[in-house]
Amino acid sequence: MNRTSRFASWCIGFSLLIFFWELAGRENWLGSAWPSLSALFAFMQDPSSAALLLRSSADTASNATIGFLLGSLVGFTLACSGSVWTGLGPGLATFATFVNATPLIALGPLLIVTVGEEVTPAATAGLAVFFSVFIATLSGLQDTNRDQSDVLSIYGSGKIRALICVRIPNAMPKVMDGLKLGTTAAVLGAIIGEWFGAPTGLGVILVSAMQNFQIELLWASALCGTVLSGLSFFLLAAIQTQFIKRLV
Amino acid sequence: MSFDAPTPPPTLLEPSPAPCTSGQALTSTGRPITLRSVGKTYALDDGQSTVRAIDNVSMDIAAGEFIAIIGPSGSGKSTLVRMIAGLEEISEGDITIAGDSPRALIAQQRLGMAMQDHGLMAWLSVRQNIALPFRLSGKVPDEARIDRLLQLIGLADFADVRPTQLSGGMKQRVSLARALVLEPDVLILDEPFGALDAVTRRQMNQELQKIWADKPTTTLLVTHSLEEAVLLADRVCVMSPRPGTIASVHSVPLPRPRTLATTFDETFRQLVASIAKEFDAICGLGDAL
Ligand SMILES: Nc1ncnc2c1ncn2[C@@H]1O[C@H](COP(=O)(O)OP(=O)(O)O)[C@@H](O)[C@H]1O
Ligand SMILES: [Mg+2]
Repeated sequence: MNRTSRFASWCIGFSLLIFFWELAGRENWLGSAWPSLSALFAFMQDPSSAALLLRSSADTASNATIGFLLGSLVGFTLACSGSVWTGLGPGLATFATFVNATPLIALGPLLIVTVGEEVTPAATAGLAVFFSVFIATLSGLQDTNRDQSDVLSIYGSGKIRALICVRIPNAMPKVMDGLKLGTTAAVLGAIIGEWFGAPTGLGVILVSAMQNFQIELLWASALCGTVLSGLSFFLLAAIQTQFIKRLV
Repeated sequence: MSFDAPTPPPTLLEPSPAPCTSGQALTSTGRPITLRSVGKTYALDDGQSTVRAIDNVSMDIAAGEFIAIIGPSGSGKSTLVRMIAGLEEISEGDITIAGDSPRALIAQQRLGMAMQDHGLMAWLSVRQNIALPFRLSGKVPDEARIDRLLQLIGLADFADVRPTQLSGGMKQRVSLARALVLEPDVLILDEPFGALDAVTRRQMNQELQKIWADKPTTTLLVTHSLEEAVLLADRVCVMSPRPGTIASVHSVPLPRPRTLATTFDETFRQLVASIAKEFDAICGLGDAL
């Protein structure tokens, strides 16, 4: 399929989705909890709800960004130290698996009582990102082939220099993959963190809209969350493409 | 077989005096290598079976000498040179390089090595790849030397290009330049031209000879090509099939510099023929040919 026909079929599919969504909403096919798209957009354009959604999205975005930066930094640094001090490796891997195996739903309340509700969303976002970046970095650092490791043994006078000159650049494609997966995890993590009682954010509106049966607000904030994680994913994918282009 | 008349590559060097076979060339800083009853047994992954790769190899290599090693696949050529390079543990026996262990040579960054798969870093330009040994050993790259090597391997115009944009022959030349950049005392070349076509290979042979004549250093070249071995080396070692031992050693009494014309020389052809015959016998082909 060429570009044009692919775009055409995508347009047709998308229009059908829009059409049936609208129809289902108007005709109440799926009950009153399924609003029509036009009603949803009318709601979102209303100045007061628009302001609320925008502010909450911005808060969630900032929580997700802080969590993303911290989580990736910690994941990346820990994986690198595991590669320099090889003795640390197994312990770190076990620790990371343990962190990953603990559901955020269980960690959320623990974080609320320990670090407080202001910090919890960024913390859950960070935890969600941490594992994917840690594992991606670890596997990227082990990716050097035999000839590359030989070059390191022959000229390398230190693991740190080898790490900076060869292992990290060599791991970058995998690290970028990990970061890309991390973006959506960060948005989800931030929303879950807000859910447990943060002062602001999409997670907060989701809970309150659900409890107060504000159907349009519920849908609108879900949509905002989706847009947020989609945008961050594509942003990172674009950075990755540029990066790989420069790299190879 | 007939070759076109050799087109002499643009020479960037003053013609250098021919180093003699005993290896005490004027400019040589190479180190002598001694192997005493060296053996290697690999333990396989299952933890029980083993592979005997090298058996009882003893050899004295003079400083600045050029040794070629030929032998059938799996006869332990790579294993032998990797042990000399300190990349592989020695199971029995002893290898000393100017009285020191191979690892001491590596620790001083006095070894240069080029392998069959060239091991270039995809994210570095040609120039950066050649400079990598400087960076890895914490030295400031000697840009003048890198420029000279780039000239020598004929890739001055490709200095800022990444390896993915180079042909196989070009990559090999970069890998050779990288092996030479620290002016090593021991140079190990493990089938560096294995993947090249015949024409590029002859070209590379001439270039290698040019570079080597410029500053002879103790060199071990593993190759599949008898002609290449005889053309370049002071001595040719023939290895037997697994477990690898040195079946015979042949001195090459041809004067240097050796050119394509040397390959038509009667002494050259007789030497190649006699080693070939012995090589076939070692591989069990015997009189079948
Ligand atoms: N890392 C290794 N582990 C186990 N066996 C090996 C290893 N490297 C080489 N060998 C075995 O040792 C023998 C010699 O291999 P090698 O030195 O690569 O031969 P050559 O370079 O002459 O082709 C082969 O039988 C090979 O299978
Ligand atoms: Mg080999």
